[in-house]
Amino acid sequence: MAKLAFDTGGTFTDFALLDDTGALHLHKVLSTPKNPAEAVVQGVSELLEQFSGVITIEDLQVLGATTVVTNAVLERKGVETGFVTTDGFQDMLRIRNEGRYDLYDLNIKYPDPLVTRANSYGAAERIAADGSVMTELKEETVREIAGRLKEKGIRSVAVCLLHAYKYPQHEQRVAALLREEYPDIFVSLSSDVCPEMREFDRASTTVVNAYTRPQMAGHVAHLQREFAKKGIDRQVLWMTSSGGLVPSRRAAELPVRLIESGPAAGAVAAAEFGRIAGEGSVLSFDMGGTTAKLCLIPNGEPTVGTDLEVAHYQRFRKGSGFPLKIQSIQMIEIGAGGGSIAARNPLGLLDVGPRSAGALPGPAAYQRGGTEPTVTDADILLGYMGTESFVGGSFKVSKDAAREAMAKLAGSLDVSIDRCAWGIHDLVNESMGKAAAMHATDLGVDPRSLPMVAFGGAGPVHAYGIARKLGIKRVICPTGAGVTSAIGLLIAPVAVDLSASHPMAVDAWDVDGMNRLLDDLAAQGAEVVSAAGVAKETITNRYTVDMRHVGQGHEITVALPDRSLPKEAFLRQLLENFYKLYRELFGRTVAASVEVITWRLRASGEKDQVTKPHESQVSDARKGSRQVYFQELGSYTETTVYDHYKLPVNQEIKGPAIVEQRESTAVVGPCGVFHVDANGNLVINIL
Amino acid sequence: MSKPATDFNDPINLQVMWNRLIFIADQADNVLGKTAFSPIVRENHDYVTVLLDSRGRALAQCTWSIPVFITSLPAAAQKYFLPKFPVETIQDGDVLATNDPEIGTGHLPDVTMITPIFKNGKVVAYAGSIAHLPDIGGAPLHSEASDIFEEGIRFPIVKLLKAGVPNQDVFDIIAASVRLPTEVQGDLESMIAANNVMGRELLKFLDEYGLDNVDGLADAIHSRSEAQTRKAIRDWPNGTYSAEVLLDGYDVDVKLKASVIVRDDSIHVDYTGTSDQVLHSINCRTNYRYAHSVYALKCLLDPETPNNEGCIVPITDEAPLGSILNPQPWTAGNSRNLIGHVIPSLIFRALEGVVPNKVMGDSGGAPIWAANCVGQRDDGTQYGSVQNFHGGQGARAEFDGLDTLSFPSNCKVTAIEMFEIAVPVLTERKELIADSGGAGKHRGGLGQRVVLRNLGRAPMSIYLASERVRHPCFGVVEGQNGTAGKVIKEGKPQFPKGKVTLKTGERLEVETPGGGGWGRASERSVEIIEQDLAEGLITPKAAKTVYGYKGTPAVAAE
Repeated sequence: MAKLAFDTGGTFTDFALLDDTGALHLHKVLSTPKNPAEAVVQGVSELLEQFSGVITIEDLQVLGATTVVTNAVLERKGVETGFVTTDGFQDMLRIRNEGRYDLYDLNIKYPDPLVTRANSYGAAERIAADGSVMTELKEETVREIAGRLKEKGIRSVAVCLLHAYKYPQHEQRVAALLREEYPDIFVSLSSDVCPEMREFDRASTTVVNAYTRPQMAGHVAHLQREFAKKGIDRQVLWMTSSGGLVPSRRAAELPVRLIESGPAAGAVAAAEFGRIAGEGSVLSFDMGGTTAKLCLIPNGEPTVGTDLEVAHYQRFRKGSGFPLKIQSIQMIEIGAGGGSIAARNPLGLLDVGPRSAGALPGPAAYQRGGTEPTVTDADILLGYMGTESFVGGSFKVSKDAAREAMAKLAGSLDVSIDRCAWGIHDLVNESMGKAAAMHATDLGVDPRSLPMVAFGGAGPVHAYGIARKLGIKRVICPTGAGVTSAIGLLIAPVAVDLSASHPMAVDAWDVDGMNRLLDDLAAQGAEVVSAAGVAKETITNRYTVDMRHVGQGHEITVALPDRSLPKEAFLRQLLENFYKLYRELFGRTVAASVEVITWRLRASGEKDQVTKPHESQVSDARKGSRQVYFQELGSYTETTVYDHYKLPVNQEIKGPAIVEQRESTAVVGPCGVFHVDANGNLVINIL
Repeated sequence: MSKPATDFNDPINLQVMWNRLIFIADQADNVLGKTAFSPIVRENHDYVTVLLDSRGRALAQCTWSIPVFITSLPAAAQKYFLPKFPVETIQDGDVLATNDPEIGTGHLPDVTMITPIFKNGKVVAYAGSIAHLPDIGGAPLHSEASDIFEEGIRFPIVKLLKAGVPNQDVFDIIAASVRLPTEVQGDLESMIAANNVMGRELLKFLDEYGLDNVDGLADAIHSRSEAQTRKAIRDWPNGTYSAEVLLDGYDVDVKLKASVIVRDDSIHVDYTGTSDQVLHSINCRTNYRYAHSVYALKCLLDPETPNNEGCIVPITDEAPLGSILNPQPWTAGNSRNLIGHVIPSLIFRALEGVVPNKVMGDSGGAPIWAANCVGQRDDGTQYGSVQNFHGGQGARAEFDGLDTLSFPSNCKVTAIEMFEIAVPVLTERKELIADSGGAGKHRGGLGQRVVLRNLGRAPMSIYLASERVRHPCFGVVEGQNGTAGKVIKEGKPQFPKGKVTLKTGERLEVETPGGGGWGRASERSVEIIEQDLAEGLITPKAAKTVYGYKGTPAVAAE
């Protein structure tokens, strides 16, 4: 079966096609931000035309990753949205959690809520903490709200009632009433979107869903229509933040789950590249123009968690955005990319970012109006990035312009230009290393034992330096580093994540209760996954539980043992899993009883495989040489430049060296030895 | 070209290493919060982690902090912990702790814990943490005690762990003296774990950079930060700038008076003229007062530099012995925040003529309001848990104040859904109060109205800690006052610092104060007034009478 993947990004929409014969083809077109579907349709048409002979159109599966949801929130281009909650709590979105994300800055702000106070409504009802009904839902209050929404022409509404994660029936009734009075309205329920405890987080997640839903529904429908015209019958499958694919219908209903669609696809790809390179666990490192993403992938599977935040008022300041409690691949986003600006701070020290020169004006070297030195300018001056073969030689880059910008900053810091450039490169590497270590603490993994998979425009440039800081011994730069996320889509399984909060103490374990709950989750999962064309008998169900000591407020996620085990053995195994992770994360264990809070299921189909054998070249892979700075040598050294795609398989070459791809450049320092493996990946071993 | 890592004056080396130290404190913060048992620690984040150098000076602190804790911790280390336990008396694995208010943060529930970090047999640094335990015995947290002995147990600086082995006697005494032994024990364990992580990570850092100690690095951080603070002070004209504020106090008004004396590159704050100490739990000890003086000035002088000892050194303060800001050691201080939290607003007021564009109106979050709910569940077990409420932030020169914000402290509140599981109380409403923000060119943030109802069969005792009921938050730079707070049970005003008993089904209603305004109300733009009207943040009546708004709003508030 042929598969065609598209990944809509800020600048480019990337495509990867796996044809009937299993051959992989890559493609890129400029994105069309006003209507992202245009670029998708254009790219799909071009590929279908070019490869019509090797694609059976009736069987073709189209897969998508998108920034539509993220951008709607970041640019506040969603629809006018309503909010319905338990009467008395309409200000929940403004009140937040009452804390401050910066201690000394008196001028902090939060993003304005996506729903105004005037569009927030209270429904008369109340559910108690144990899930019982204290006040029956007064239906006329909901009908009245529906009337107001209709009058104002509000097309989408988020409903979040207190304790609805435990008792969803009131929310469901609210939805029915709203639809009765106002059939065209999109209703998002907190008990569907995010059935978890803590009302503000749940409301925030539900509101983002409602705010983006009409737009995503329109996008999905538009593409489905266009594809149908071309004879493509299957529903498009979309990448969720947790790294699984879901059918169009679910994507249109739960768009908030697609908020990290592209980065999740990148992580899935990195896991696969790690696997085919013979590695179990890897650290994925994706560095682009404005940000970088780091993701620890233990045992070939990215870790999935629920800590996410979007639309930070202050860039990258944790706590300054909208919290989202959705299943997403745990990764760290760092506000440093090739375009990050370096400057002198008030203390006279060097800072890099969070300001970015973006695509325009871009780094000083691009000569498009940028005058402040960026990370890319530093990388050019150090010789890491060439000036001729930049992005495949498609545009001109000036080393002199980079030097001029750097000279000003170096002067203000009273250091040499070269020292300044190296300082920028090194400071960025340090931030990345630090973020990787923080991420590792969160997940209880030692990053030093892992190989790194580096991609994105700037990833392979910085990978060697970061690996050295972290003590990482091997770096893998995959082939096609420019369209890695699209490749990830081809590999990813169909998968859906479901959860239910239902506390159960280990001391009072209820086997029947557990089985009922899990069977219910499994039935829901099977419905979604089979709708995406997965045969029911091939569905894998993986259960995990969020556990804590009784009395704690934060849970850790551990695997649920085999349910067929006898109760005692089952519980012994469960506790063992819990204590092991607890010790890894927090160093000490506590003598207190343990409970499960949330039950989770990931129901998935099978993963696919994509390999593209490397065609070893007989011609000389050397492209030339240039002066490159290496800290270990303390100076600039004339260094050979190689063409990644011409390197012969498995032939070891000693660093220092520069290895160029069309969209990225890999730096190999003097402590590195590298080769290209049979799959075309560049492997750098660090001594 | 590359300089050795030991060149701490290199602007790049220093930045890289400094960031790492902050990161180490954040890692410990993460461990403490995620493993803690009590809602006040894990949900409200009423704790800090600080890395101290070998002399007990603050080196780096967690990013999400409580201002008063981070200045108190190094002061406690330098003045009390290190003198009592000099290096020759401690060994690797020792953990020192106390809850003495004079040493720590001014009240008994806060435990200050310090763990020496050893490298090659020498103490190279100390890991420090402070957390607010959910109970410490004595009368439940409120303002009625007349001396410290009524407020709970007090343990001096003790070795909680000796060479890694728990000093069980101490743990047992604490467990036997508090209402919530499991939570208290669990939180202490979390602090120990957090300090361990700081030690482990610091040693990794030292190995990575081939350093034997942090002394050189500490000097570089401190001297650069100190120079920056002094430079900022020099931009202010020399002089003495004074202000005073009246607070409700316990039963009589309390006056706080501050004279901020700017002298070249240092600042001294003199609280002469402040009311005398009182026979209730609202006296603020020296460490606590000083921490707030330093905090307010850092916000104005240099909010960017990560806080450390160098930022503190140029600032001193004093208050007359026997005043409410420098009370005798035997006095009670459980609810000292009711008075102390207002110090930053007072300093801002004193400096409104010096730096009008930096000061902020008085905040309704000063002080934090707390309702400590204690009672018996239907199954006969005991419960006790604190919920916090904040008023509106004061207005800033550029922006309106934020609604319902913790200031100067930094406590999140417990989610209602969490609190209702811990305590048989129903929150019936939690909503903003229109018109509560002080008018001004920029408006103060709004306060909130919260209604609590006892669901249990047994009566519930709510120990209240609230202020600004008679004296509202003031505006600055000609901004107006916000509205005062209210505490009402079944329609009747309650004593804001007392115990309120709710029988089954009875309700307590609290209204937190609105923040003070900034600048003249007449200068507020019509556009923003109309926006406030559309959002119902002000009423049409207030628009007319307070702001002189003459139009008819296009969108009526609902």
